Amino acid sequence: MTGEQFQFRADHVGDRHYFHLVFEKRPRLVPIMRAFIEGYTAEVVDDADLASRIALTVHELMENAMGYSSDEGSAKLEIEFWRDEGSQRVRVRSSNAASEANVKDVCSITDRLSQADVFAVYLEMFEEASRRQQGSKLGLARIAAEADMKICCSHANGRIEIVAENREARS
Amino acid sequence: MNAVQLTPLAAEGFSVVPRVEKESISVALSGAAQLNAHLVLGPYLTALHKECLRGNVTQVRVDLTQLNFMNSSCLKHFVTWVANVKDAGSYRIIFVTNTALRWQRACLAALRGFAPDHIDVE
Repeated sequence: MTGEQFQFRADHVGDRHYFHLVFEKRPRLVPIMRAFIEGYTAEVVDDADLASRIALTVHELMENAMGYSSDEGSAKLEIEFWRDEGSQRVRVRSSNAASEANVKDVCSITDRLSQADVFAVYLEMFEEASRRQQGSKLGLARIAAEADMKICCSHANGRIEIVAENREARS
Repeated sequence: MNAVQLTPLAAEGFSVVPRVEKESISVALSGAAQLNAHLVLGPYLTALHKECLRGNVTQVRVDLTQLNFMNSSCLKHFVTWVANVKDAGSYRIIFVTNTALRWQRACLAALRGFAPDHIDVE
């Protein structure tokens, strides 16, 4: 499906499902895609709880991409669903152009969120957010703590990629 | 409790309706707290906190049962409000949640963890 502000494609190979979205900086698109993805995920995995977690993840990643992208160009979001030894796995990947400062900022946040006690880190970030005048810097923490996703970031060629993966089958 | 004055708040797809009762205040949020809602929610919660202090309010009930979603920008304003309540220590916040909305369970568990002595979740 193609719109002026976005293009998306859903596909599957066997029981592995893929969703690809390319979007521009249009904030109104975020709640629309969140609602769509929640329905789509519930259909694919038949798990309303997981669908809600993925919807929150998509919302925060899209807001993050729109808020911090260093250009007006397209950002990307990809979701992959598969089963692994009986566990439902989901990986959400976003990428957008980013300044060096933004890369450093985001990667420092995902590094903090990779600690064992994510909830304790989240509460530390609440304390920091309460003293901050601009921006919340809570979006990625919500993905890790509320949506219970493992999150990491990488960067190359002026773009940042954030990957969030559900923890269900994590060893 | 001294006379407390609060007005309703309406933004695109989001509203807050206050109700002043004998010894407490209740505010009902509905719709979705997203897009530009944070621009009005922050000042509203600041004003609510000031009124609670001025009116010697002992309890604020926050009804979230009709709130479908809250983004992180709006959550930040709740975090700031809760931090101010922790500092003031003069009233409690009771969040009334919709158990069918999974995001509320996770979000409110974190907020309660942030201020366990000042927040209850129903």
